Amino acid sequence: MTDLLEYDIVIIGSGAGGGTVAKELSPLCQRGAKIALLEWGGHFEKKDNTRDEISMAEKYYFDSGGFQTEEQDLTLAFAKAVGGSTTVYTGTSLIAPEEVIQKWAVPDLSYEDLLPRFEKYIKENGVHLYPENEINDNNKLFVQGCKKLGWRVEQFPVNTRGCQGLGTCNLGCAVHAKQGTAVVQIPVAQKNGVDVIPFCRVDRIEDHDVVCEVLPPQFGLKPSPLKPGPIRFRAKKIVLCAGVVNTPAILSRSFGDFLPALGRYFTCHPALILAGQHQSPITNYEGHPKSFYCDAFSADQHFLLETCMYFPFTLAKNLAGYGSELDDFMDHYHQLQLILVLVVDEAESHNRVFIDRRGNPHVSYRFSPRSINSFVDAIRASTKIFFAAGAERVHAPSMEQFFIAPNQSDQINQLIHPKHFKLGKISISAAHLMGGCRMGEDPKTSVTDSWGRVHGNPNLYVADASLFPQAVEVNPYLTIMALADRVAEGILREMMSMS
Amino acid sequence: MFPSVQSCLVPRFAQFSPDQKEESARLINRLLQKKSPVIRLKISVFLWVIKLVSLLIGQDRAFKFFFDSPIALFRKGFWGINTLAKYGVYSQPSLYPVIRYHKRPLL
Repeated sequence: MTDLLEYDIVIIGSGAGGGTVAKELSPLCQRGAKIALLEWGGHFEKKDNTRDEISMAEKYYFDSGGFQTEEQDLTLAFAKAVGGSTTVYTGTSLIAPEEVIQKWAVPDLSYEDLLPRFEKYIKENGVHLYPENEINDNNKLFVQGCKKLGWRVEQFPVNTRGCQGLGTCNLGCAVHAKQGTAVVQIPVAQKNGVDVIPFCRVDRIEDHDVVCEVLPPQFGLKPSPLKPGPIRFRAKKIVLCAGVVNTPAILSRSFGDFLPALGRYFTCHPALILAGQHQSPITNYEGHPKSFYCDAFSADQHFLLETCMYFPFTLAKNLAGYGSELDDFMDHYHQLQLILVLVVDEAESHNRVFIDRRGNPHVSYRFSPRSINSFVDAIRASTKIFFAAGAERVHAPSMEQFFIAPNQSDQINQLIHPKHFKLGKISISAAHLMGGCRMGEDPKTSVTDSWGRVHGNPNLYVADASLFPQAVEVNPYLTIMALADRVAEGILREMMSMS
Repeated sequence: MFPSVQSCLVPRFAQFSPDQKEESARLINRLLQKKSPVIRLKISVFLWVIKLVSLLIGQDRAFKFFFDSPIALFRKGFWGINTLAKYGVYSQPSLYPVIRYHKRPLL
């Protein structure tokens, strides 16, 4: 017989959305409310992080970071852990641009409502700028290149406390310097009385019941406080924060295609990596990897450029080629400057999350002509930055040859050309997953209202990036927290009026 | 068959010690075991197709054909094989001193 536990509120998923909701609702525990936060993954302590590329990717990420779309030309990276994907991002903390919130055009959702929420989490998460003496060469060269070209370059505010510049942010922070929900919001929620339950995989929702399985612990992590096996949580209110792939999947498994927009309008800021080699060694894999960005082209050409640094296999995988040229380039790893190009993709109904007959989630995503053009423009712009920064050769996908040299810089537009940008040949990945349960007024074109309440289900909510009607055009995590804060406020108001 | 393909895709592999080659095989097999039987079958079939085409037109030309093919399926298949080849080589910590990568010590 399946165990049944009764709660007032059950929150599914502990990332930027779930962690925020848990903390914001936790004061209700002092009034006698019972709240549970369920998380599929485990809780990573500092000692659990070896900073090894392969083993930490296996432990943190769904499919070890290699979740592929149906079309097999895009890889999605999202985490399974207490703290969700806030455990593996680089901590860059930007607020959504006002014009993006206006473009979203969600009735009753205004920038004025979100701004104080952004400010709250900026303060709570210790967001600040790194001082100049903590910026590594990889980042400095990007700034140098942009400035020489006359392009606007900005520093990323980052949410860290006690950062040691280990450079392995995307493998989890081994010293818990990164202020994700596992470090900030969830401990507060727990202290206030929220039950945090790791290794708890949610299958579906039936009426007020969340049907789950408690899993045995993995990777030497602390086990769940509940014994492995099937379990049901009965709750007055259920908040889905399982992420863009799993939130729509849970809703589909529970209710079928009950809303036409469910799973649809998926966006992800698809990204690819470029590398330029300098004459001498530079500091690149030590220090915070992502300190600067250039958004000079986001309005007209729909792409962003960011600094980045990746580990040996991740970098090798992202070089579009093979053979001795690739090996030779990797031999100069300590001389490489990297740039990440991200495309601002449009929300299209055919790009979607769906489930198969077994209930497993899949993502179907087709690159638009606009996105392809943006990629090529971004690769050209990045190549110019590398040369302006003094790189002696650059690997740019979307060329016939592996390298381009400074003496070919007048041929950038001919050598880096859309005809060479072939999907499936170039490694494209995405970590900014958005959409699938978009906010809106009309149940024909949206899944939730502007307070995250699922249409037709007054006690079911969504509070993660699947709420986004369109791409947010910056790193999404602060916007997720702001929206989750708003969803929590709505729930709090209802719970208080009920009591 | 895969080691000979891997040596061409990642020439560094040919210079690996026996231990490193064994480790490469172990890493790749472990990764493949987590994939579905359908994916494992597709990879095996594609390796045979590469071998056959290589016999017909030579390995260099065959690789270039699949890497840059006008047929998306071939490009994606080649990307998968190429990624596996790189995985076996560049995920090995024994390579890190060679490419001068190391983990910064904790304070």
